[in-house]
Amino acid sequence: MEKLIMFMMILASCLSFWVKDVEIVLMDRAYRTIQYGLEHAVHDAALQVEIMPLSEGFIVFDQPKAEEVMLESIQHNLPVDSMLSPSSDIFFTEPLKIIDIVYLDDNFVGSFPMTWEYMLPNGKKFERAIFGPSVALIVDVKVQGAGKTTPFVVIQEYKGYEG
Amino acid sequence: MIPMIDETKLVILANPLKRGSLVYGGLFMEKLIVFMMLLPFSLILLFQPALDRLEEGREKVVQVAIQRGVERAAIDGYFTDDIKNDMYAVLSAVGYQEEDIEFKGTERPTYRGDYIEGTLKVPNKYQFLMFENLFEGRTTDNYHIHTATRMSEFIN
Repeated sequence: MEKLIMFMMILASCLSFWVKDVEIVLMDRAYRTIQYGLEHAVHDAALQVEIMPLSEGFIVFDQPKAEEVMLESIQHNLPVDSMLSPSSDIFFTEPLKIIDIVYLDDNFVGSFPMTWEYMLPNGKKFERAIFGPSVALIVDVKVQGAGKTTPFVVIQEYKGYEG
Repeated sequence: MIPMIDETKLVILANPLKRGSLVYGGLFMEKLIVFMMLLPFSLILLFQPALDRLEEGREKVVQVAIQRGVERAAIDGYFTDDIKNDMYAVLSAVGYQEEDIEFKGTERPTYRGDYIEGTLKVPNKYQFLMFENLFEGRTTDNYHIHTATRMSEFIN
């Protein structure tokens, strides 16, 4: 009888560990999917450049178009509606919060390559070397199971650019 | 007074085979039944976590394959045979045959500004395998499905 009780206790603890494990796997998958989805979105936004400056050799982003396309691409890759609130709560339950969209193009002060610094809302400083005109997107997501919001910073560059 | 020794009992105690049948007979059956009842749980605890971990790893590989594929397809305008074969090569490294893999995607040249889409679907054979087999007696077909959409960069 004692052995049976012991076995049941082991079973219960194993099951609780197992549930925790599944939660962690889902969280991991959510992080990966969000990262990939935002990378596609920012890539698509970076494709929207203005034609006139481009014919003179400058890259200037068409910002309204880029934002429109970014929103559409996020909806293609992540389970969100047009207001960025989740349509299924597997990955996140609260709407994605776009903190900032930074266009580092030829209208931006500075020359390439440069070190781009950004102060994230949680007080940490983000630093990265940028080699060409870029679009950077900063999104706050409360990932399911993570307990706090995570800032995602995704950047798409035109590399090998001399300007 | 000299105590009397029952010779038949002495023989039984000395002989291990008979001892087992006489003294432990009932207890043994009880233990066997308990063991058989607990066996499914033991099997699941022993083997299912490892099988789950295997499928979790394969799920990651599938996602990386399709995301990398769509990034390359954005440059070429569509999923070329080259890109598809590379995706199949990545998946074959984790044990998928080419006939297991279902791929759906943009196969016609798409120009800059239009969306390219790709979906990979492969069977998920081992997750929850023992649950279903031991408790429900049937298996359902599970799949790993990953989709990626990205704008084409291709200029004619």
